[in-house]
Amino acid sequence: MNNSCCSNESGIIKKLDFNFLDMFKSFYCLLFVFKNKFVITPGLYYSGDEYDINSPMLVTCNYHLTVHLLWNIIKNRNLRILVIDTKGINVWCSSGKGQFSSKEILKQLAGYSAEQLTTGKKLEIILPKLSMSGVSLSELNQNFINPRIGTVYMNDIPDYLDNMPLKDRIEDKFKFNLKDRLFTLTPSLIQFTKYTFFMAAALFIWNYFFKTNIHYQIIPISMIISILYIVFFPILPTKNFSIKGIFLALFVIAVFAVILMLLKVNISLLSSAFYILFTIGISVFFALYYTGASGVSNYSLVKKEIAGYLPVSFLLILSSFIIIIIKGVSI
Amino acid sequence: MIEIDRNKCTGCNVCYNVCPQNVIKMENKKAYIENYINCMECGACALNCQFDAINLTKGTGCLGAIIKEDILKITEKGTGCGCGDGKNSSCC
Repeated sequence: MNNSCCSNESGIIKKLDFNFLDMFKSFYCLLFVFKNKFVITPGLYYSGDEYDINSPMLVTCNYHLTVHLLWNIIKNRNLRILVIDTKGINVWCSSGKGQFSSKEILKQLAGYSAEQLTTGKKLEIILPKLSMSGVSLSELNQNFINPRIGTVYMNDIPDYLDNMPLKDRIEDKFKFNLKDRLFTLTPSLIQFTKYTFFMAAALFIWNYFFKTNIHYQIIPISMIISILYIVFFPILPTKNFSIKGIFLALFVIAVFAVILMLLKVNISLLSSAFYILFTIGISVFFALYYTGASGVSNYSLVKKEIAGYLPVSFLLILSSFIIIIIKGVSI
Repeated sequence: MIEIDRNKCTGCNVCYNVCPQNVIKMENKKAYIENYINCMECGACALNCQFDAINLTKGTGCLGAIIKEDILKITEKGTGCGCGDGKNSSCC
């Protein structure tokens, strides 16, 4: 038997367990999705009562939140979980960068003896379908491993495991539905608000010398745009991220205009011009920013879009700031 | 862009099996792309094709990565977004 998947030395197999403190770590991961402060130590773990060599082996990344959520789903089942070193990054991003790879899987398996992993059969492992951009199935096969293409969503794992023998989940598809998008909302908001915070700080300083009365308002504007963009992403017109952003900005501007008219609030021409230009500019900028978090962006098309629309968004935001400078000095 | 060389394609179905967006379809034992706009160019098909039948430039749709890697060309491919670079940085 070719046991090139494993070594001659036994490795430590631990029970996968999370405590109350881990909930806070996972929450931190959710808020700051790419700040890989908390990671799970790579290696082989088990869930359920005891280590069962005949139980299915799931492979996952070492992003704390992913492993915690996975544990919540499978903790009562006898399963084996191989956590590989993806530098604390989630499955999709790490496979895109090549960290979630067949080489890394083989490296982790090499820390265990054949007797710990298999009873003589070819070692069957279940891979997340979203890891396929980093995992070479043929390389695993050559190393006496039988890789199974598992589910896209971890919530589907129990159903997948209930239907033995395991089959490849060929029809599984990344949907990017509302739940998927809401998962990206908080980290996107936090990261994006950083940019608008600096812009607001600049406007605040300008307002200190020249009373423009426009500074903090851009933070709620960009937050409203971000939330609406994420929630209504599929129904915003066209497949183009930036054009979706322009449509959303025009819609938000129109709604605000109606509200201000109903409330009989007068805004000066310069202030109106600022809000219109800034809202469109920041909306396009957020749209381009969101290409990375969306999970449905086509690299070639997004590349062209960024080259074309990023200067547009910068020009719009810059123009809005020039208007504020003019407003300040003309008071 | 993604291109499938129909002459090299053997109809083994691997690209069809691994695609997370189901944009690769099979017809007469040959793979083809349906709804290219839904293709993320993640590279799963090209990586797993043993017959070198898929030509694809893999990339991430991350704004920061595209600016650094493709527009400014100040970092190497795959290093632009900063995820997991050990600097506790953020991206996307």
